[in-house]
Formats: sequence, structure tokens, C-alpha cells
Amino acid sequence: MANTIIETKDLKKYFDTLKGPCKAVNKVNLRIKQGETFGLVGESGCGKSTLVRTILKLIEPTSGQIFLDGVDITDYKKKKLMALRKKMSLVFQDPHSSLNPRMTVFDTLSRPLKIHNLTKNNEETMIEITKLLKLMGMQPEHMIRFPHELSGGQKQRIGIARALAVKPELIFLDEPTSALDVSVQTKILKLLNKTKKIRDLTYFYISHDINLIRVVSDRIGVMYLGQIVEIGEVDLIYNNPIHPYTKGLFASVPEPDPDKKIKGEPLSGEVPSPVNPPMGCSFAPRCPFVEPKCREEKPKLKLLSDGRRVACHKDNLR
Amino acid sequence: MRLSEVNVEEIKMELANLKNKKSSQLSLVWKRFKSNRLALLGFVFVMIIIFIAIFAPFLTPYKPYATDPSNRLMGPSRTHLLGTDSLGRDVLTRLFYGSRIALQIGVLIILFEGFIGIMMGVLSGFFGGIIDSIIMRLVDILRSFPVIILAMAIAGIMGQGIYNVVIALGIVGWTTYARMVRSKILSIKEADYIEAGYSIGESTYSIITRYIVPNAIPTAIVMISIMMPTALIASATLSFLGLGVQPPIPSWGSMVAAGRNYLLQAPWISTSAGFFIMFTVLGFNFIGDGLRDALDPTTKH
Repeated sequence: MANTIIETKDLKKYFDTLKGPCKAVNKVNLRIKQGETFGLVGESGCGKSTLVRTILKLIEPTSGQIFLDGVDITDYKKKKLMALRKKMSLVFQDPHSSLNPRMTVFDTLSRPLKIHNLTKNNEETMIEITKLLKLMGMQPEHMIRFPHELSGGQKQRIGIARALAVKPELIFLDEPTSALDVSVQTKILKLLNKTKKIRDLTYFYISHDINLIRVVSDRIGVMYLGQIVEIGEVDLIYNNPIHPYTKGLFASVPEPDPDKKIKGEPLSGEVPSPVNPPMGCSFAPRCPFVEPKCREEKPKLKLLSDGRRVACHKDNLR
Repeated sequence: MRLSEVNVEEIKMELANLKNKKSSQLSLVWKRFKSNRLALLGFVFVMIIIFIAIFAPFLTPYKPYATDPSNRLMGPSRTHLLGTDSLGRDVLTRLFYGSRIALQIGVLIILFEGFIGIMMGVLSGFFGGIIDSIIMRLVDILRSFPVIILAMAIAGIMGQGIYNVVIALGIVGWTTYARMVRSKILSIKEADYIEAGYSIGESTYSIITRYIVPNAIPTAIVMISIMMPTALIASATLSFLGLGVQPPIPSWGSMVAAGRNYLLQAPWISTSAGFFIMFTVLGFNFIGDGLRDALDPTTKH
């Protein structure tokens, strides 16, 4: 059994608003294994990005704990945080705005190397950057380009190269392909897959694209209103979703074959506000199988016999 | 391709080739600026004025203060190309020396209000919160007065003189910079590359100096070049109203005012002074527009 690389315990992130705290991440328990590809799916605004930024310590968690390689990193500041930045990195959704328009590709890629003293002199930096560019299928001449001189796909490759520069163990990919067109998406995904093998990485994908997540992930987690509602092996969940939200989510995926019947009922209703989430199960107001108990008590993630965990009061949903 | 297969020597050769191809950012900006005809024209205008200001004593045989009562209000002639004023002083000479005063005041105002305004804008935009509120409300208060009226009041209280003109206009003028810089910084702060910077371990200092400032500098430069003509006109206005540079110091604004009394007998005094103001302001305006286009890396040509 592979080691756990990252683990969260009751992780919470609340944002203060005029109407009260916005519960963007509400008691999330996750465990990511070394070398796996984990996919986190959910609708826009369910807290996926916030969760990742909290784990990366780009924003301070409100409460709960984060463990990296078994070490509690929740209260890491300054210097210790620097060491952390070398182990985990982030690829952004929008390649256009994630690169500093005033920095050449060389500047952008040399910063992580210089900050963490990974190269001793300019020549070493250049060689290292060339290696990164070649790994990304680009040429050394791209080094002197500014972001606006590159195409969307090239920019995203630079974004990935920047994340790889520090030689991290774990990379978070925040919808790395959703801003790109379909043919480029495929190339980037293949590139990421290849890089994962070469560099022995662990990937944490975030996406609202269920088909993408299905292809790339080993395990997936389904997030709804700041909480994980179902988590487990991708094929198990995809073929037989148990949580009513997962069922609805998968049923809302457009089916290209008109003769095929869509499994289950698509979701109806609106997502409640995270400022004022429902008392009991957060999915209760939209759930077709709702019971009185669901409106009063929050369900906990329960381990099922096939290894997945589901947060639902109903036992007979299989 | 496996990483170990990358040939280091090959890379070095490719890099050596690259160095020759690389053109600096500054030369790129100059290339773009050059291709803009109006900007180049403005550049020539301003160069002419700067040349005149520096070499004024060599360009004219007269002294700006030398009166000649026997040659009052003479029309343009060979000896006095633009005629003389009511005290018999050579108008062209005074206009030449006036360019020194105009540029001096213009540059001082820009430096004074630019420094305060950009500092305030950065503080306001980067730190936000209560600092932002205080600075922006101060800006609102100052902006609620008509600029020239407030400047007149301040100049009236402090008295005449070059430095008082600078202070009077600067006290009002910095608000424009503060607002512009603040809004620019707010938009930069939202960009993903700031978060990307933090995610690779950049310090706050590094974020400000490497990510925020370089992206805000073009805005500041363009603003300065656009505010220059405004400063020139405002200082000329104050001088015209008698609240600026004291006679007999030759300033364009006060020359327009002095020539107004003889507009029918000696129209060349006011009009030529007015032309110099227009010429300079136009020059700086063209430069400002050209710089705005040249400094934007996303402008396509």
C-alpha cells in the first residue's frame, strides 16, 4: 500500500462576508496516496479551488489540520513554508493570466530555481530551463519570448514547466485544460501523463469536466457545497454512483449517442448559498430521496464494502 | 525523450545563437514608438523646445530683460523677427527664455505630483482597507473643487513665484495619479500570476518589485507624459491670471496676458506666445499617446 502524501482532517475555510461566514470548505477529510492521480469534481463554486489553495497554504485555513508526508503543516510560516513550496506546486486554469506579462519565459522559469537555490549560476539555470522546455515539447528559443508571443497551449506548457521547476512531489492542477481548445487539451493531458511517469509525481486534478476526470484519475472525490459527498475508485463511482448528488451529476453529462438512455435523473433546483447552508445534509433540499432525518442531521462519510466512502443517511441506495 | 538524453553541449550552442537574436525590451519599445508618425512628430517638437531652452543665449543677440523705449510695439522685421513688446523687448528672445521657465515648471510639477500620487496610489491599492479609504476620501475632497479655482486660491495665499505655482498645482494634481495607479494595482493584484508567484515561494517584497511594479510602470509613464501638457497649460493659466510667475520673468502665460492689451496694435505678442504654448503641449500630447501604444506589450502591429 502506497504512502499517504497529503491528508486533511476536518479542514475548514470560512470567508467573512457581510451576511456571515461563507463556508467555502466545510470539514473536508481527504487522503491522497503517493503516486496516484486524484480527481476532484463538483459544480462551479462548490469550493474545489478554495480547498486546493488552502492545502497549498496560499490561504490560511479557518480550522482543521493538513498533513504532508505525515507532518502537520497547518501552522507553517515563512521559512518552513518555503520548504513546502518545493514539494507542492500549482498549475492554473487560465494560462493567459497566470504568466507575468512583463517576464520572458526565461524569467518566469528561472524564478523558482533561484528562490530555492536549485541552480548555482546563470548557465546552470539556462540548461535546467532548456531541459524543462524540451520536456514540455518546446524549444530553447522560446526562452526569450514574452507570454503574449505564445499560443494558449504554449503558455499552459510554460505554466506546467514552472510548476515542475522546483521538482515537486505533488502537483495540483486547477482545471489545466478548460481554457484550451479540444485538440490542445488532448496534447496537454498526454504531456501531463508522460511527465507524471518520468518525474514520479502525484497529481491532484480539479475539474467540473466529469469525462476528463474519468480518463485521468485513479480515484475521484465528489464535492458539493464545501463537502466531500463521495470518494473512491473512479470506475466504481462512475459505473455505480451511490450518493444522490453523484447520480444527478453524472446524469447531467451530455450523452453524444442519442439512442443511449441517460442513467438516472439530472439535477434539479439551485445550489443553496454557502453562507447559509442547510442544517442537515447540504444536498437535502435538492435530493429526490430525502427523508426527515436528512434535514436534521449531517451525514458522515461512511466506508462501504467496496472501499469507497459516501456521506448519505440512506443505506439501501446501492 | 528521457531527461538524461538532453545534450548539454548542444544546448549551450543553441543558447549562444539565441543571445544574438535577443533584442532588449527598451529597443523594442523604441522601435514601436518610431513607427508611430505622430509620436515621432511630438518627439521632434519637444526636442526643438528643449534645444531652444538650452541654447537660448546663443540663438538670439538680445537679452530678455533689455528694454528699448524707442522701439516699443514694433512689428516683425529683420532685426526683431517677432517684433517687440510694450517696453521694447524682443518678443522672440522672451519666448526663447520663456521655454526655460515653462519646462522647468512643467518638470517640477510632474515630479512633485507624480511622486506623491504614485506613492499614494501604491499604498492605497496594495494595502487597501483603512489606508485606502483615507487616501481615496482625501482625493475625493480635493477633486470636488474645480482644479484651477483651488490652485488659484492656494497660489493667492502663498503668493507668486515659480515654486508656489508648482506647489499649488501639485497639491491638486497628485489625485489623478493616485486614482489611476490605485486602479491599475487593484487589477494587477487580482491576476493569477500574483498567486502563481506566491505559490512558487516569492516574498511579498518580490511580489511588489517583480510582479506588481513592472506591470504598473507603463501606466505611470504614460500618465506622466499625458499630465505634462496639463501641467503646462495650468501653469500658463496661473501666469495669465497674474498668480503665477512674476513679471519681468518671461513666461508664456504672462506674455499672452501682457499682449492682450495691445491685441489690435501688436497682435504678434499674444499670438506667438500662444503658439509656443500650443506647440509644446501638442508635442507632449503626441509623445504621451505614442508611449501608451509602444509600452503596451499586447499591442499588435
